[in-house]
Amino acid sequence: MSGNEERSLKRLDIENKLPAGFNELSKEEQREVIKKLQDQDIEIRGELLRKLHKSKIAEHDLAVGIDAVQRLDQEKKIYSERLKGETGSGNYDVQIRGGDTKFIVPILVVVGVIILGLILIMSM
Amino acid sequence: MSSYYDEYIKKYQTLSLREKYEILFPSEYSKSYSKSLKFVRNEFFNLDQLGFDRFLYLYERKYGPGPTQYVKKIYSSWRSGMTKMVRKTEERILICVPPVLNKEKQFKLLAIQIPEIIRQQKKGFKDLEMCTSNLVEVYNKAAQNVVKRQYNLDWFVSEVFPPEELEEFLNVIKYTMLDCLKQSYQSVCKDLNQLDNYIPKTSGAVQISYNISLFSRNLKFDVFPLPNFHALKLPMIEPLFVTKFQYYYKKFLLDHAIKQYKEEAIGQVNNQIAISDVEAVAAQLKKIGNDQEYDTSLDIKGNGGSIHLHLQKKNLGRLQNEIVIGYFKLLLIICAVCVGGYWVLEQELYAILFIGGFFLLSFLVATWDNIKDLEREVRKYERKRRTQFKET
Repeated sequence: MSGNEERSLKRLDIENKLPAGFNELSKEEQREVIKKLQDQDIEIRGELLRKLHKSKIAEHDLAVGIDAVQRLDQEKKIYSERLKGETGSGNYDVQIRGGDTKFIVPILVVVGVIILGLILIMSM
Repeated sequence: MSSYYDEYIKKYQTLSLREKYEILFPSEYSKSYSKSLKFVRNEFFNLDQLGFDRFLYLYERKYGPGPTQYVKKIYSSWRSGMTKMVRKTEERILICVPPVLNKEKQFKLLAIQIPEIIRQQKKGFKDLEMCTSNLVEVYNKAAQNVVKRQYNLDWFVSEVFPPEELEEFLNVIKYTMLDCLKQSYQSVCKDLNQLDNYIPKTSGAVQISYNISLFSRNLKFDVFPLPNFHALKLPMIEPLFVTKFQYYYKKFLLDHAIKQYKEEAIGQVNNQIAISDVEAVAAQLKKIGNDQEYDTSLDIKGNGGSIHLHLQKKNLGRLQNEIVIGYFKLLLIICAVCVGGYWVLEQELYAILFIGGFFLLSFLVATWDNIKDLEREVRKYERKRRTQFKET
């Protein structure tokens, strides 16, 4: 049996999926059941491909979003980014926060010193 | 508001007299009863001569010649919609028309009850407490509920169909529901068994919740991994076909089997896609640096239910830094309060003391709350992380 034959047989193989009581049906009804199963198979495969496609797009979008966030991080900016998307199996919601917060400390120290200075001046 | 009202009035004016009547005097009919009534009325007005004669014969035997003459006289007016059928006559027709219909239509009439039965079955699942430790018990209880429950069918059903036909009908529905329970259990177990695949390996905190589709209920994770994984033994009662509907039941079960096969195949597809989605998102999250934070929610469809994943990574260094800054702020405010208070008292500016004191005091409280929130956040995050590593 060649590889192609095997594949084509596999595509049409629905014997394992035939429900109990199938043999009691008339030829016409059996044909109907087989057609239903084949249609279902095609629908499921279509669904699988559609979902895979959606997942790939979502993965790409997320990768692009995260790269953009990484660029912000390299620029030492404080940021909070939200990335939302729909995957094949559901949806994701990613919120990323970051940035160099260390420079806040000197700012706060300076502000504190100014306030203390003002209070001292006023109290004199 | 007024435009909505105008639109409603316009819509109302286009309705037929019967539809207006139904809006003004809403009936207490259940959905299945209204559907059955509609179906029987439709069949009644489309009866052929032989069917109509048989109907009249039955009607006369049950209600006498007077009402039968009335039905004969007014039939065309009912059909054209000129006269509205009173409820009593509707009820009589609901009893006398089904016996003159063919087997297929009788079965269709009976099948209208199915959604109502399923609704009643699902109502019985509401009281079940769903935990991973008692999953087998939950499904067994649900199965017992399906088998033992007394189903309330519309009143005319027992008048039209003999008890053995009703028993056969209920047995078939119960059998399909038990089959759904069995499949749901297997799918849920598959999902829970693969939970490790769903949980990305991250250094942050991971929270997971699972909603069983069949019950539309959340599952509590009190034990993991699942105990007694293969312990479910449902009382599958194979229905016996003894009545005139046996052909339709066999077809019904065949359709059910095909539908279940589809559900299973779609479940497997969902499972594969869900795992690959989680892997993809986790791979992207790995790119995020140590000093960055993320808070990620993933809602995905598994085999037998939906999974909610909450991944969180916090920069503990930042949080601790913020706490230190908070204490520093607090110190500054206290200093300001003391120095300012002393100065104001010295200058005897009591009005400023009152207003400024109130302002500084609220600022003090807000800063203190902020520090406490941050400390709580750190503790909560650490607890989540510890729980995750314990579970996995």
